[in-house]
Amino acid sequence: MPPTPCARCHTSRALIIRPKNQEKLCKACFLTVFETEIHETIISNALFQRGERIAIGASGGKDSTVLASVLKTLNERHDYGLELVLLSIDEGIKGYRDDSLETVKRNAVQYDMKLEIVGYGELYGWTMDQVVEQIGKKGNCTYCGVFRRQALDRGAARLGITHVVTGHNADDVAETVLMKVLRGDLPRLSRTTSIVTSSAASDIKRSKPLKYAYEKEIVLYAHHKKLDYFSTECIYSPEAFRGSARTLIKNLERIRPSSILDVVKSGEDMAKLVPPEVTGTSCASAGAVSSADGAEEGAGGCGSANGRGSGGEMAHMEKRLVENEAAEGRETEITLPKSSTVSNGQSKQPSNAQQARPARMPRKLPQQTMRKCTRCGYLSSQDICKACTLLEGLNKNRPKMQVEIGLEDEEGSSTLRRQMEGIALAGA
Amino acid sequence: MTTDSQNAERTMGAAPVRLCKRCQEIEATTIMRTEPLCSNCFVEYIKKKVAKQLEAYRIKNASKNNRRRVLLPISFGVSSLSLLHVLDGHLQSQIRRTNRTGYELHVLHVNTSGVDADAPQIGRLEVLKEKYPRHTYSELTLEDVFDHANEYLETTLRDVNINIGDVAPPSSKHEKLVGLLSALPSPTSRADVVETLRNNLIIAFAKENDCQSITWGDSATRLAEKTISETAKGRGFSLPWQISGGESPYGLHVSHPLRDVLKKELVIFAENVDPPLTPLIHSRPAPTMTSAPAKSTTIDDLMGQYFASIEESFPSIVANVVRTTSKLRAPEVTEGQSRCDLCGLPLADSDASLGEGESSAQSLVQPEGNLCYGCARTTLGSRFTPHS
Ligand SMILES: [Zn+2]
Ligand SMILES: [Zn+2]
Ligand SMILES: [Zn+2]
Ligand SMILES: [Zn+2]
Repeated sequence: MPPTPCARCHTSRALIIRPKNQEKLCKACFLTVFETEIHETIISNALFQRGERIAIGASGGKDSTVLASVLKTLNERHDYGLELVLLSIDEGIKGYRDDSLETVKRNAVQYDMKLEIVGYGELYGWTMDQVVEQIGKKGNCTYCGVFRRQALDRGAARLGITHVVTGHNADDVAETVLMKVLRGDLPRLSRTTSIVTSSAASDIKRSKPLKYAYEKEIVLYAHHKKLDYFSTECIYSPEAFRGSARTLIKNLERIRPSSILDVVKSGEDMAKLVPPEVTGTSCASAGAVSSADGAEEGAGGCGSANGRGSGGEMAHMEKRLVENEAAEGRETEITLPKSSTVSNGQSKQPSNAQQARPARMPRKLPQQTMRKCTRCGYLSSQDICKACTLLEGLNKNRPKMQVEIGLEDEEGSSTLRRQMEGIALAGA
Repeated sequence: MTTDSQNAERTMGAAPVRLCKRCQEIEATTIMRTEPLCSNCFVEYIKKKVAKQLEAYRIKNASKNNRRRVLLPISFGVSSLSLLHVLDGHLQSQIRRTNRTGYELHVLHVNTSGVDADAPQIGRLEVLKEKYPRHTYSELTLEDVFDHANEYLETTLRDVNINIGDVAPPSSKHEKLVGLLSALPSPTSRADVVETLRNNLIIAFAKENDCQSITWGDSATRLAEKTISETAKGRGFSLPWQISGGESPYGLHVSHPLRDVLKKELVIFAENVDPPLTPLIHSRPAPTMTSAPAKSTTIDDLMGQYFASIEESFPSIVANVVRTTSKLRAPEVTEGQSRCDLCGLPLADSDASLGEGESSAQSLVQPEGNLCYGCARTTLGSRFTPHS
């Protein structure tokens, strides 16, 4: 059988089947089409202005390394006139972060870009290793996520830069869309699907030039360009909703490769259908992790694109929803004998039913107004921002802070995560 | 705090008999969310839950001389049969109380056995007619879509034989349908188009038969499945119309009375009504669970399996998906707004083409005509084009 010719140049031999659409391409054409699509995304969304200084959130992982490489290529090829700078966060995780930071340092030399590293240690007085030592392995990704978002903004501010690009790819966006649907957290869907987000919590604009790039193609691109990246995954597992959504996306991609783009498109359309009175309020009344301070949209590595947390999140939300239902039952089902209405509130489910919790979450949260954190000056929806709240807990030497975002349920969470993993597999 | 049922449990000693929490008399046979219930109380509980959704069908809401006709599509699955059972009881109780009814039921089965070997065979409606005789019954085959398609699909389907006619032009509706489906690129696309055609046929039939309303048997679990499934097919824009109910862009009222009931609860319901509905149910072969989906797996299959697992451990999360999705607001539909040639839904400007980040899609066959994103995706790369 003669070798299949490339579907684009029709001369070279096709060596790559594009994960996005099964097109058979030669290596050169694949690299070109991958770059061209990102260029088209940048142009059609008018992401950059001439003369703009851009900080690339760089973790040393494949996404941000490919992003830096492609932006450098396109900046030269199409004369964008951008000044590109690498911005890295040092969470202070020995073994994981040390090595990836070495990668970023090499990238800075390879791409001839300035590199700025901001450390949790210098910003907060706590490295992640110290946080883990203090609070244990569970739930520390909450800290990591909250700290990271501020750290990127502060690092950018230090550089006098107001635009940070992150390596979020199409798989990440699709995964987050499904996760938000599963979690009933539609109000802030547009944060996930918008290619550019400027948040009330920060003066710094963020964008995701790889929003339509497939993870598999990013890996292929990095491989064929022989890019130097750090491939160890973060040591913590994703929380249950995220893990569940990730498995769904992988299976969908197998069934119909365009699914990733299709979920992104659906997410964009659905974000437009969220009624204004729901935006900024928690309509699910349970489980919606408030992201005004945005723990979930950081760049690469632990806690960000991967939104890590403890595995009990799904079970925790189920419990809250059951309690809400029971509370509503107390109000509406007046026909029931008294004994059953009273016991309604007590879940007979195994474990943690005894934990006292407010019986009912408010149906609607008030509109969030942003102000400066009284401690650190960072924009926040509360008087004290989440980072400072978490820090206060750490500094008081308490094992764990009961703040809104600390959804984890220490007891039994690993069992529940295993349970969820079982589901993810069964659903496969 | 001790409750009566806990007391009951305690006094029974070694082998505790849990009494039903509602009637406090009979042994509980099932646990409804967190409450142990006897089979009677369970059935009543489900009926009440459904009745809450039937506000629009109450007598006082029906005008005297124009009685509402409601179309109930039946697939012979546990959900639509349960809905028929509940609505039949609902109508009987209206008659008992007031000697009149708030609506008339027209039961429709669209037979898909021509293109789906696992679908129920033609003629099963007879059993239902005997069991619930007061309603009108009709059976159509999916092939009838070529005669009953609504105004949007009509032109599309008229042209089909031209476009798929690579051999001899199809001589029958059946050949035409088979030709159309085999021109599609994947099992997911075929299942998607079958569903679209079925919906179109049902809507067209409702209009031809003066039904003002269609009542679907979708359970909460099915609606949650649909939410994620349609999202995955690029049909997120259509979710308010598919999930919320109310006025549909096809000009009919739509309701999902089982929207608060889980699929697994309906299975128990069907077993516990007297006599059980179980023998009437058409069960499809269960899809095999493997770690990676097979080539023949469709997106709907995948979501079906996923939510069957989720509703076991996290039933409230299933209900919450439906509740939140229902809050999405359907966009305004203006008169004369262009419609998708396949599904008939109104098109927004942004729906016109396939997604961003697909510059290379140009090298594939782009579907022609006016298609929404979901229908464009489903027919992309097929030999099926709506217009010649
Ligand atoms: Zn080539
Ligand atoms: Zn602060
Ligand atoms: Zn009872
Ligand atoms: Zn359509």
